[in-house]
Amino acid sequence: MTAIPARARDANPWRSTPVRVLKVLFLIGLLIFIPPLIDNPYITRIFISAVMLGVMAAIFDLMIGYAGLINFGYAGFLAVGAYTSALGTFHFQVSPWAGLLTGGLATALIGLATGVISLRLRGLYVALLTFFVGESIRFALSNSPEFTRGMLGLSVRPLPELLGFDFSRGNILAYYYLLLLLGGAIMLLLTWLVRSRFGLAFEAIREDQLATQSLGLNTTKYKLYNFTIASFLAGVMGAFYASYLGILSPSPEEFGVYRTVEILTITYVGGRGTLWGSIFAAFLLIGLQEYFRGLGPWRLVIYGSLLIFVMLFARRGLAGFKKYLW
Amino acid sequence: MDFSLLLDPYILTEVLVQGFVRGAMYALMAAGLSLIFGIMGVKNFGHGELFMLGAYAMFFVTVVLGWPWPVGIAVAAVALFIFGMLLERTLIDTLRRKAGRDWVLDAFILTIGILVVLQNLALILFGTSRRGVTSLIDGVLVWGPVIVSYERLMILGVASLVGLSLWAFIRFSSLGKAIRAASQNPEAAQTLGIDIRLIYTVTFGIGAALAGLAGGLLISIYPAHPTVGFEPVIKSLACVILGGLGNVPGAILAALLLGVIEAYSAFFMSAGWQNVITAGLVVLILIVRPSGLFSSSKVERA
Amino acid sequence: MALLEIQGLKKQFGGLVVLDGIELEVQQGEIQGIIGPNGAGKSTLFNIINGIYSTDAGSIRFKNRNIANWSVHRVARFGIGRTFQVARVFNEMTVLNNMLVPSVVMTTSRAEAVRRAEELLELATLGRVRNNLAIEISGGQKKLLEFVRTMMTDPDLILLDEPFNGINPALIEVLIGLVRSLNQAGKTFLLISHEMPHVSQLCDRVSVLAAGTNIARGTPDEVRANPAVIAAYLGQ
Repeated sequence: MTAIPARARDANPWRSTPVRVLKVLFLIGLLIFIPPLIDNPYITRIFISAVMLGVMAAIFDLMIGYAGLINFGYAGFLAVGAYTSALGTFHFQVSPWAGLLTGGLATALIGLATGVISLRLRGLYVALLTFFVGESIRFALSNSPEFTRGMLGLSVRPLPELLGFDFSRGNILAYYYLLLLLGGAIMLLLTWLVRSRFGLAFEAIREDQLATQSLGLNTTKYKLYNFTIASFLAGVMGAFYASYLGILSPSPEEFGVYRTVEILTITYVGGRGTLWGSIFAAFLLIGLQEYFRGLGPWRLVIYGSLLIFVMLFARRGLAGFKKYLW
Repeated sequence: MDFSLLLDPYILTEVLVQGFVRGAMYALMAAGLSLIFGIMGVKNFGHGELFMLGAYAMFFVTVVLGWPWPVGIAVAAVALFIFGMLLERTLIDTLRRKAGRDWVLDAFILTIGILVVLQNLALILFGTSRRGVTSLIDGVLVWGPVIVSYERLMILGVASLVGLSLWAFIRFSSLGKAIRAASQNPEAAQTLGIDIRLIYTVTFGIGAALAGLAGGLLISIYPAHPTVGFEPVIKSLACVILGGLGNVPGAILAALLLGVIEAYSAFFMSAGWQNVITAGLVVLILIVRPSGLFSSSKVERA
Repeated sequence: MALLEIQGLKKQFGGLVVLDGIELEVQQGEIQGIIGPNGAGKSTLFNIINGIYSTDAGSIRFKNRNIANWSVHRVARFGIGRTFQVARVFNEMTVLNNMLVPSVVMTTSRAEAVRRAEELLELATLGRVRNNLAIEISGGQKKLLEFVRTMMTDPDLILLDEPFNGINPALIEVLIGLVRSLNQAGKTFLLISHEMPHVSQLCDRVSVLAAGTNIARGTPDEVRANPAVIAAYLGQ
């Protein structure tokens, strides 16, 4: 019998706990201080895009990477959060701050409903169903111009002043720090979740549903938890996106399949089942996109090729290179 | 909405004819997607981009070279057959050998990557302008209240012909039998000496050829441009789900049905709502009958 | 009163009758074997008890409740654990985390669950690989892992499907030792196997299935001498 020895503790001081803490603090420091130090709105916007898409991708990872559920209508779910918040303000004078919550709740409701009807299905069927749910949402938004202004675009009021902080559109640093707080809270929540008992249940479901049920777990229930929590967080991010962007339209690039693909690529490049990999991948991909902005469509060719490359040759994404970089 | 209009014989005939023509188009697009899904289990999200390449091939042959349109369609089909096989052998086959158990879901993600690359390469090479022809054949058939262009009738004819030949090929040719065996039980087929890799490559090639053929044939309705594949892929996905995943005859029936339903809804509602109806219908079917409208077997549930 | 009592159990797939009126009773505290030629319906029987398939007719009484057609997780929580013919471990999770999955729905504290898991892993000689991914361990180790993992649910009855298949002699000894000691601690076992020597070694009683019905029942020696059993095996 050839038993494989348990993994030896890594003796490399570069990976000892204090050094890890320092590395994390250093990265957080970079996130906090680079945008104000450079003080260039263009750079700040890149940081906002990267953090925002990174957090959205990490939420996506909670579904695909941990429970093996693919929400291929993800952008439609973001749209529910964004539009609930924006329409609440537009039609019913709900504060955009409350919109962060109502956006999340509305999306959680859609997620729960979609979950109930789809989660008894498997893999590809979930992808197909969520895809059409997402597209239905988008089509419905663009076909109700009297309420949503459709493709004309819905303008969203900026967040009102809170605790003396000014959130007018010119002050994008305020939006950036709000995003860091919001995104940071979401990332911590996700990390706690996947390390809790729920995380064990999610991973077991991803690996083998029948075996999981045979151990007494109601897999449908845990999949519903996963899907509803992810939808809530997606809705909150969608609502933030609406306030930050200032104008919404249900185009495929904004809330359709292209946005889903963009987020999905970030998740896969970051590495499924890693959560934080998505943040790094978002900076990498958004950075590449901006660097190659002059190349026009070529940057999307690079994007697609990267996804193909990851699927074929680097199946763990950036996480596969962790030992060289971290 | 006045429901009595729904049963008015003139409107009914008109709508049925338009619906069948539309359905034939969808059937043509969906057949290849359904075939690939049925045999390999792969949902090819890049199917619309193969359609797009077919449309460009058609444009090149008929407009740039000025050759007759049947040649264009043939070239589109053959070119996509070869391209599809290349794609399968270089990318999908590699993935299948690396990903193991979950390869089908991963293959779906891979085809998304293929979609993004092909679409943007087309944008770089050909720009955004629409390249089409006004019609392949001129003239209209007037028959009582029904007015149909000859072109649309030709599409109906070609679609039927292609459907029949596909059915005959799968049913009677030795390669077709091998393909069926491979789809029912890959391991058993392998022990019988059937080369699964080859079967998959050829199947993907045929599926791509069908997409290319559809792209070429429908160039007057969907002129070639980089994102032309979006609508076809959504419609064919819808048909494939309605008909039952991997059930080719089911997909074709579903396409006809969808065509008629859309023709009806187009008559009574603004065009944008058609898509909502289609998507809603698909969601409904996935909820109540995930194995599709025309299947007796149950989908494997969790 | 038997712990498990199955009466008149029938199951068809399409037109194919797989189980045709199975009768079975398992007493509290015994180790019972189920043998029979391939296609006799043994695994289907487990899949029905387990709740994967529905029944067409008949009852399955366990602890005085009819559990026929219960969902898989409900059967598990009511006290029936099982293993599969081909071990179903969670490949991309560590051996220890495999063990902890059942604790998700149990009231024990995490520390308590970890303690119990490590104890069982030691007994199964898997202690050294507890931090390895399950995909990295050998096939025999996977079968053992699956077995001790089901013990984490603290079941009253454990269904073992071909536990000796594809596992080396040293691990078979470990497995047999584990089953014996758990049995002494009050656990009841029902196991499918066609390794007659191991069945004789472990089981108090053996039921023989052929073509979806019971054809014999008794001690291993009685069953082996039964002409109907010999005919069923030779006839296939």
